[in-house]
Amino acid sequence: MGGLPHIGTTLIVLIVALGLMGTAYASWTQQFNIFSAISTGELNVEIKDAVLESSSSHKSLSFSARKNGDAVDEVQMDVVTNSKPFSAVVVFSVENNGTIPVICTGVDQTAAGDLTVEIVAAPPLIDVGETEPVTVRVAKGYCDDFEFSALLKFEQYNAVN
Amino acid sequence: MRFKIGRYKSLLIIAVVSLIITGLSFAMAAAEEFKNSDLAYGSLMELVPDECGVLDASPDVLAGVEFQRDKHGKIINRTDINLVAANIYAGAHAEFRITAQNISDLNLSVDRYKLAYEADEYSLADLIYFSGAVKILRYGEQYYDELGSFKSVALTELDDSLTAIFKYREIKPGEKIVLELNQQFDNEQAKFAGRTNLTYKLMPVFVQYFPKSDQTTESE
Repeated sequence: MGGLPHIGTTLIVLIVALGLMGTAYASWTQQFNIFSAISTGELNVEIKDAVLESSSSHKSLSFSARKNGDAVDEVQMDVVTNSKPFSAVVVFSVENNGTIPVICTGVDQTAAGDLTVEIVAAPPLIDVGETEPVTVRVAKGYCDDFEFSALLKFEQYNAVN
Repeated sequence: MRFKIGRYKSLLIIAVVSLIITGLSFAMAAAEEFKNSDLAYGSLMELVPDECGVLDASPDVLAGVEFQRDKHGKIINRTDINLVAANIYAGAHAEFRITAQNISDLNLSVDRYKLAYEADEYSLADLIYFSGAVKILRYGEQYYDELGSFKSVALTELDDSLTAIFKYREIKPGEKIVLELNQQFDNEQAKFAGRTNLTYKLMPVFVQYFPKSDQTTESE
């Protein structure tokens, strides 16, 4: 009878081992991974060209579009006016190099007073990779040594709102 | 010191060694057999790539689903899926369908959903809301049961909402569960100034289904 505890020990070990296997099996879990990557688009427009379309009421006018590589960096217009208000119409060729359609929402100008810088014509949207004209009119009454700068504003085209 | 092994101790040692050798040989045979099978990685729930995709997206939004593939284009991981939405804007949305199937012989359930994301100053985390529904396709019966739906849930509450729908729901062998998830973005354009991206990870945890003590399982 001295051997019985040894058989019992063996049985207990086997039973516990089987129990642990069952517990491990029942505790099985599996996990999925649903990754989500969301991003806004990239807004990137370039002025490829600027052309003086028309002008009036000035004694003299010089117009130049300075390019930096392929894009227009700065447009300089030097005007000597006469007694009547001066106006000029400039056409900018705008290229959309971003990933989203854009619209031209207006002009930001630095000078106040009776200077008018306004969008005369602009496309409803400029699609990705497309180049469209944006026409701007500048008008000013009599002035002397008047300087100003203006920026065209572009925003992402929102197809929903 | 001499070590004398009794007769029964030697039997125990032999039994343990036999079990170890049996287990090792089984594992080696199983590894060879399952090398090219769907169970190669021990998955009992798998995504169904052909039934995962984009249901709808706003104009100009680039939306798609991606899986891990090898150099030949074959999907190598059916437990991970990537939902991509680019060029999003105020008021936009992208809706996805995610289908997974129980390929095991066990009745399964979803224990819980876990959520992980990072929110910094450029994050869109507070500008996104989720809507959708959870359906189960009964095997062989060709119809969907809708388990539940949710609407305008914030990202921080998404895991709890999905857990509430899935918990204690039985997924029998062969059945498919479908999650239709719509990502809707806030309408106010001004809120998007300076915000660029969001990444989050949603992790459903599947467990073996055990009916609650006051429930009885349906018999086949």
